Amino acid sequence: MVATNLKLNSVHLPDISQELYKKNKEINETLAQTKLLAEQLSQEKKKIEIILENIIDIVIFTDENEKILLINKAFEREFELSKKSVINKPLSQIISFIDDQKILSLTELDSIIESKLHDTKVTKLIKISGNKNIYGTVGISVVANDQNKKRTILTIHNKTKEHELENMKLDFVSMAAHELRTPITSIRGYASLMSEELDEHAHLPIQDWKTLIGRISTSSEQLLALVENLLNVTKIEKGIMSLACKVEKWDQVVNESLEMFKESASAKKLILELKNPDSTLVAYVDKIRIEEVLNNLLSNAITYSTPNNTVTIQIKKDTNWIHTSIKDNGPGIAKSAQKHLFEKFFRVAGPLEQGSKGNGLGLYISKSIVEMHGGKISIDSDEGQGATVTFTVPCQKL
Amino acid sequence: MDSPKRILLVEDEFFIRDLYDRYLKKNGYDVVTAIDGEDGYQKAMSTSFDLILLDIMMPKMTGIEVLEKIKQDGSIAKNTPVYLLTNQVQQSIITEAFKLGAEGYLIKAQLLPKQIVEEIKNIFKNKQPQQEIAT
Repeated sequence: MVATNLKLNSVHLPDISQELYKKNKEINETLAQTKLLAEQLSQEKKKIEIILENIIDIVIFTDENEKILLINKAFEREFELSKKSVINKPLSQIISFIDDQKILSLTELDSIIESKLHDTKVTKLIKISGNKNIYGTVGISVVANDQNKKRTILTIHNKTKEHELENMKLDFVSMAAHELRTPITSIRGYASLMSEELDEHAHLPIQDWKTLIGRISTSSEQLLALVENLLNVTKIEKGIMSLACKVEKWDQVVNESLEMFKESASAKKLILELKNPDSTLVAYVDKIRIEEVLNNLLSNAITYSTPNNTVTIQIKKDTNWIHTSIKDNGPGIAKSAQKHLFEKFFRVAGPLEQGSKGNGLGLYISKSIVEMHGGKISIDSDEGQGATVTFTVPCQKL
Repeated sequence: MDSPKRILLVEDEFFIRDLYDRYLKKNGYDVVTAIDGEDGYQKAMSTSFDLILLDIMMPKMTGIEVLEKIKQDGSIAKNTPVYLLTNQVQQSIITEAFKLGAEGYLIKAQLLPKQIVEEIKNIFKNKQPQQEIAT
């Protein structure tokens, strides 16, 4: 028996050991594979984490009770909130989704869809109010886990800047339309008045006719100047504004501009005074462009002056530059506003802004044109003391 | 014959103010003009008018601010009809003006002066003037 058993064992032992060896190898292989998979998984996880952390859009995961499970860096950055302060808190406690002044639930948010990308529904632009307010579109995907618990993934694409820019554009169009309407009202009104006077065979003195025609003419000039400004901004922005400089008699350039403002100055009983004119002075300028600067500055000075005052234009020369300053007796400009004066669309806040005729373009354009000539423009003003704008142009080719 | 209706015209643009002043006077109205919001408010408070025509974009006080103040309790002009005579067609501003008690508005650039006079005649006839639609 023993012998038989021994024999049996001797027969099977190598088989078992081979089997064991095989199994061991298999286990080792599986282990290696698992290790590899785990490593791959960990690498994938890291990748996803890197993507999540570095993605520009805000990402939020919530559980079935709409409590925040996870947020990314963009969330922390845009709402200025730390991860620690929001994890496990109900989403509604941290941020609200607002459309047309109404706070939306996630279900309501899900219904204001603009487009759909695979399983993600994207809302139209809405306000998202948290520690900070932003404007953006929200992507919503609902995923169910093994226990069929629904979790929500929200992504927010911050469009605050675009939203502000769009608003600025709309304000600008609305402002431009308003500004254009003013001279149009005058032109239509006075033309119609003259026509009716003729129909009625009224005997207006010739001087009155001249006044009425003068008003149509001044209003057309204003309209033209405004359209020019709008076009100039486009040219400056596109970088396609060019200069055609020539030697010009500076006295003559200034006087031509002054001539244009005679009517509007006398309407406000303002005196336009040109101090120390010098007919020998020459400047190397693009006359059309530099006249736009003069027109913008004179128009401002007249607009902001109180009636029965003087607008003074002073010309000085140093070795290479002509300094031209335009001084008004208006309300002046607060120091805090002065540094922004030459920025596009900037308008002085306060009583001046509410009624000001400006569109926030004149000084921006003037600065661009003066600088293209190599010159400088600056403002000197104290509140209640009027304002003096000075700019320089070269006497000769630079 | 009735005494002429008194109108306060508050408009900062000299050309436009003078234009409407001419037309209103030609049509028999007793017109007082104001050159900005503050002047308009002071004149509205100093004596009574049958109608106030009020521009919106003005220095010192906007038309909206004038409207708010003259419609306050105890104001002499509280019950005087106010029509906005403006080129400002931003819906939010118009809505605010109506909330504050403006009775209507006329868009200057869309109406010739004689049409504005017709509208004013209608206001006094207690007819609903044709309202301009904001564009």
